[in-house]
Amino acid sequence: MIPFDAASRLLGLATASGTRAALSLLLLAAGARLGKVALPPGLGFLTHDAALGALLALSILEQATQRDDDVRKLLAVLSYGVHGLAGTLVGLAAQKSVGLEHAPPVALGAAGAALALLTQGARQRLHDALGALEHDVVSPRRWLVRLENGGVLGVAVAALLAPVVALAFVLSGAALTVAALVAARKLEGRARRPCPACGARIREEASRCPKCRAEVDPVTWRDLGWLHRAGALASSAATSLETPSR
Amino acid sequence: MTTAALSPREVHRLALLLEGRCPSCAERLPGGVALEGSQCPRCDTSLRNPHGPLEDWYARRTSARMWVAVVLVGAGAFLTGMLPLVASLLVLAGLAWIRFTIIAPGTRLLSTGRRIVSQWTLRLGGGAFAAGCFIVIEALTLLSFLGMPLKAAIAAVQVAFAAWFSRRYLAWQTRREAARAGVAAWEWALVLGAAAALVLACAVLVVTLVWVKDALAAAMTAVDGGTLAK
Repeated sequence: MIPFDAASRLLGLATASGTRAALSLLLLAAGARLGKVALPPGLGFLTHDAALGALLALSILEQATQRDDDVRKLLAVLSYGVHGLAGTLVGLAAQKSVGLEHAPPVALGAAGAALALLTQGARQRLHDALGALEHDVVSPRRWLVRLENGGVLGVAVAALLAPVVALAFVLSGAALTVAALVAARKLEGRARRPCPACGARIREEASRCPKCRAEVDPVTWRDLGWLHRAGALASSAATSLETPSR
Repeated sequence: MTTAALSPREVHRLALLLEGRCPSCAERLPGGVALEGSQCPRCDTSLRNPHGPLEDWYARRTSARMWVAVVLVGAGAFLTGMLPLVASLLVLAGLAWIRFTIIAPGTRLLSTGRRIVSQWTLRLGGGAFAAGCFIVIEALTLLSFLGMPLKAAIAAVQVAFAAWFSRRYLAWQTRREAARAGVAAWEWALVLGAAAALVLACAVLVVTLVWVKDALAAAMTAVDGGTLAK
């Protein structure tokens, strides 16, 4: 025979994980009726025909209510009651298994019920949130309303203006290139210094004078930026460099 | 060969070559000379890169840069997902980043003809791509909260795709330049065809808008005339 505390731990686990509370209670009561689960004397009423029938009806009702949001909200109180009862049973069973022999059973039952009600509340909120998500994204009517509210006009205007956007992109890109070229020409004349040997204006990065071919020390040093700093990247690319690319 | 194995002087010379400059005199090289590995026309320094093909170093360097834009645009689009136009502007900024960090260093290595073809191919392709991106991103604004992560993901993917395509295309062009292959006729035809198609599409749009405006004006005149006749 399964002891009550073990059975109610299973009941608590099943209820918390989202299995229907009435179904879990029904299984517990049916187990007690068949002599497989030992219920405490105070809970003996669960094995009576009327209680089993009520739990069976509750299980069917609970299953039915989950399919319709409106019915689920209408019978929310009933659902909370069933979950509260399941939580109370688990709380009472915890008295022995968790070592709370001296705690009053009422407090344990209340704590179990509160925990079960909180879990049920969280689950209901999750149901509502997922329902709203479905309503927001999957609903064709919602999309129709969005499109009627200006979506069609916006997308049509955007599609109509697409060639203009593309042309503006191309022209601004060309203008940007010209501006960059002009700026580069101006900057080219700056970063220069006189060659120590012949006095010609050479680049600061130069190690050789293009006029007198004298070897000079660079004033400004260049690096490879992130490529040089990221050693891991460089080493991973080394193999690709060693294999012929053409 | 890894950069860790190079001395600071070798890194300096390689960086100059990748900028399209002579590794010795640091002057700008004529297009294509650096990839051909011939001599600097100013100081006669050999431009052959002892550390492997220059086009491979270009590909490695640009791949390190492209992820910066992807991450920044994705994060920015997520934070501003509720606002219209901002994500599109972020994608535009990402494309500008690609222009300066991936495209410009690549085209600098190419000869004049190939540089013009490459720049205009990417520019025209980028224009059509940007217009398509804007439509998709702005349509996602309709999705309110769900649009935020979607916008961020799509904007990041768009920038990643643009960077990946530019990088692959220019890597292909730099390899062909190094192999001294000429610019194919179809490449010129593609650029000219795309430019003509873009101008034609804009002209059709303008003509259509003018026609609609005239038709509306005629309809209004007819309505006014009918009202006055009564």
